[in-house]
Amino acid sequence: MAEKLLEVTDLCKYFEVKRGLKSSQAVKAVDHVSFEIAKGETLGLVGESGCGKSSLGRTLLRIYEPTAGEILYDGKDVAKLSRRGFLPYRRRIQMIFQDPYASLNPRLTVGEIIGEGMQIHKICTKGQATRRVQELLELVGLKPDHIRRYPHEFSGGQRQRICIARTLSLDPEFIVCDEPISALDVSIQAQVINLLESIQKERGISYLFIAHDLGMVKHISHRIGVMYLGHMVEIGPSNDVYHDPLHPYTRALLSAEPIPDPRAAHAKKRILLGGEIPSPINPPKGCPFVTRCPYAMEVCAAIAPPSFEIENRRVSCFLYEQWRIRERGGRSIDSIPVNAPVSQSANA
Amino acid sequence: METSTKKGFWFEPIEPELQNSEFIAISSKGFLAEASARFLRNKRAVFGLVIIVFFAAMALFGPFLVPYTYDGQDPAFVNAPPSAAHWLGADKFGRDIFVRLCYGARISLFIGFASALINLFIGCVLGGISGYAGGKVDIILMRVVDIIYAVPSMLYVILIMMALGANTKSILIGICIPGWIGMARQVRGQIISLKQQEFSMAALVLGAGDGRILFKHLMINAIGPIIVQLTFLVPQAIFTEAFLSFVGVGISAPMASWGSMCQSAREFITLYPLQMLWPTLSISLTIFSLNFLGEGIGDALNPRNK
Amino acid sequence: MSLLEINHLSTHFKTAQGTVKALRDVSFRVSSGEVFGIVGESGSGKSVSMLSLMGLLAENSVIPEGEILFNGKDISPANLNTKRKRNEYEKKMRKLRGGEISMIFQDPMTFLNPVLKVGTQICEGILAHIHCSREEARIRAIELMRQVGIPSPEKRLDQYPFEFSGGMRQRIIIATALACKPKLIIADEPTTALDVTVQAQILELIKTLTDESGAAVVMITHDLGVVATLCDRIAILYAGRVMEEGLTEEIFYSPKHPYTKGLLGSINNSEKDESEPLQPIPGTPPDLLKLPAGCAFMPRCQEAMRICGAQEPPKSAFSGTHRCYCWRNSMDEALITVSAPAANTAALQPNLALSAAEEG
Repeated sequence: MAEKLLEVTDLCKYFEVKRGLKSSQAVKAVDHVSFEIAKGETLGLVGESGCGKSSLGRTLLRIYEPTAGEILYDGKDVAKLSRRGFLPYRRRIQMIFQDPYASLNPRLTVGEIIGEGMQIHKICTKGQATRRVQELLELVGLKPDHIRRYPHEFSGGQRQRICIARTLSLDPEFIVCDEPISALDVSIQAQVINLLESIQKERGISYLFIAHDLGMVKHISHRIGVMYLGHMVEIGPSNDVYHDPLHPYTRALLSAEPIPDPRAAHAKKRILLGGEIPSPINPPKGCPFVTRCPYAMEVCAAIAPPSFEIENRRVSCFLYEQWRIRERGGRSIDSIPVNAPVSQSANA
Repeated sequence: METSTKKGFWFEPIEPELQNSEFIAISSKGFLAEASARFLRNKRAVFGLVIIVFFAAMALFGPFLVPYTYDGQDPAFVNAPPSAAHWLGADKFGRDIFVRLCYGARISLFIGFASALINLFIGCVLGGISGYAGGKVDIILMRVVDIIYAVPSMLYVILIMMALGANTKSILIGICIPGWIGMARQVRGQIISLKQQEFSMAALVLGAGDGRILFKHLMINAIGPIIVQLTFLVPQAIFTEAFLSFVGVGISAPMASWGSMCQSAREFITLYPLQMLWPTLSISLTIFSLNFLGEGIGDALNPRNK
Repeated sequence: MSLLEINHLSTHFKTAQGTVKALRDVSFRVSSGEVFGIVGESGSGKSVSMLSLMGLLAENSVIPEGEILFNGKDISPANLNTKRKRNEYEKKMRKLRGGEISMIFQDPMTFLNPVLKVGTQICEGILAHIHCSREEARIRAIELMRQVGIPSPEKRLDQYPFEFSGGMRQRIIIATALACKPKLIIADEPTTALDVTVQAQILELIKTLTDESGAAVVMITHDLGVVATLCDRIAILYAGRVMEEGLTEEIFYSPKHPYTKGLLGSINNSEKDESEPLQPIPGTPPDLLKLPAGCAFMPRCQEAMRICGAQEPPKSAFSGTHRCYCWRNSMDEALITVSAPAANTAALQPNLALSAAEEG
């Protein structure tokens, strides 16, 4: 693999929730998550609402202070740096937000918005900045004379491109894209994806691409991580994860995705999960997925599964401790009876 | 009308310059230009503005129009009705009512606007810090606010007047001590909700410092509610001053204020009702106009309210 | 006979900036037992079309033309110029809404009253349209909640909406929609606010329930995946006009309109190779205040011709079910009614003027 840019180890972000006067409880938004991103690579991060994927992105950028864990950026632990100490990294790590209507200050012109970063970091003079803003506008497919317009005059897709221009103004090496296409129309989503891809090719930027839409994530990502209730349940190369998911949750998530192809959609076998994501204030003991997992065993309810390395993937599920599916005669997860009595599957 | 000149003309590919796919139909106007256009369309607000400007002009230039001073007594004109010499008549000491009304306007408008500006400043700074910093700073500042709020506001004015004497300055201080609280609470609430917005996170991610985020990104977006709050503060202060002068603890004689003019007209209200009419009319008109003005500014700054 | 027939419906909104033409000359039919998808992006008029049908438009709306027939009855909202006509129309619609036609909304929280028990809310709908006692309504509500898959409905009937999760709330909405055995259910982005795994549950539920009841469903969505899973027929809307209409298979496997092709090109199909780049539609949807002359899609169309910027495209039919509005599919000079310009671009002046205005 290419050179590592970011290496995250056991990152945790807990939020304190006040309960009554004195006692408070921790919501474990991100719980011991580890992953790495190479230079020029895109890691896709998928999961449903409340799984902690946005919190993870924001913690990487120190919008939220990490509770515990290491964020090695270019070999240096930036998790414990002071705010001032982190400032130089702000130029190198940037973020694109989900809602292009909320992420642009409505009282500033497009020129002021895109130029702000250059002004803060004193990168260039005013005249140079204006020229650079115009170049950036052209790069993202807008017109240089849009510089004096206000955000509300643009459509959603155009605004998201303005956001991209803003992040590019600092020439970053790494961009966290927090659901950048969820709020956009279908025909516009592809524009943004293509723009991000072409920028990556040109500048070798790494992305952490957060989304709940698996189809688009698979398209843009080299590797995919799947999160559930603050845990990274599976991570691996995007084709492998997409075509041969290991973790029961990944399998359910993929099968639930509606395919935009009528014949394939009708042919598809769905794994319908019962119930919904448990509240992160009161997560299940043991494996977070145990309450909905069709393969749940006794051990799953008792202790949280560690992550098992299987070829080039990591998956947090006890099924893979027991069987090592791939290694032992190609026995696949499909051959395991769904909702098998707990004792049987535990002894198998 | 010919139907077609040459065959196939219409089915040629369209000229690329006619395909403007990034077309923006809205013409670009600055935020202020748009807001003032909306304001000018609001008839009541413009009416309010005209009245306030009229009173302001009266306060500034009124005394130069007539050859009287606010305390100059003329026994020949005691309780005189309006005439060419005294446009609005004279009071029980033969003082010209018009000129006294102008001085009253000076005091009322000065106290109204000066206290509003002071409250704006204190409220924005403390409310902004409280909302932005959160945590302990917020808790301490808000407890201070609660304590100040627990004492009746009129008590501050009366205590200050006793300590510093009955003049405009002490009324102003008395009004301002509890006056900024409403503003601070309003600003704090706005800042707390704006802080959650993605654009303030975006500024943080760009590396912006606290001052820049607070003023350039948060405060500027709270300006609508702040100005609306401001337009409530002005009439409130004018009322307080008029009330104090009316009960006799405000501006002391012979200086004129609308409240003290009402007070002195009270004795003869059945005989000379006009003397009462002028100051009350001034107060009511001013308050009405300020309310219209405030409402108009609020709507102009916040088009979604409509 | 079709259950629902909409002919030449237009809806405009009067705003301070001018008239927003949200819907222009939209026609389609829906028969009993079918799931009809209305697909479009924001501002395409997909929701407005159904709100016009239900008579639930905002105050500033005008319906200059259009005919709506439901079950053979005329419920056209156009030309309600006298107060009496308006009252009559309102009376007619009140009976239909929640009775023979019901709606499922995108956000279940805005539809449910937070201070009323869910049982009360379901019963209310039943009592308003069906003559029965409170007890009977309650029994029916329990039956409905069981039908939509809410466990132990007897207990949950007496809970408040906040005690339910997002997916469960959407199930309650569906229960209220089914309460009076409607002939037509309008579902406005029913799964957009839900997570993928919950969305799959709800789609499955809508499918089985409509198969059982034989009601027609109009599914409003922007999600082509949802459409492919659920719908029998589709209409594609863009800038307030129907661009293409056909069976789901016709639309997905032989799209005729460049916009439909563009939409299908911009999504990541499971069959598609990852290395294959997406084919997005360039540009931005037009502002409904200032629509371009001719075809509304012309500014973004890869195949645009001169006529596209001058005259609205005619209808071309490919089968009994498949139709499309695009000049590419009917290159017939006889259909052109605009006069050819002396200079090349004179007739296209409106567009030139627009571009010039923007430059300036």
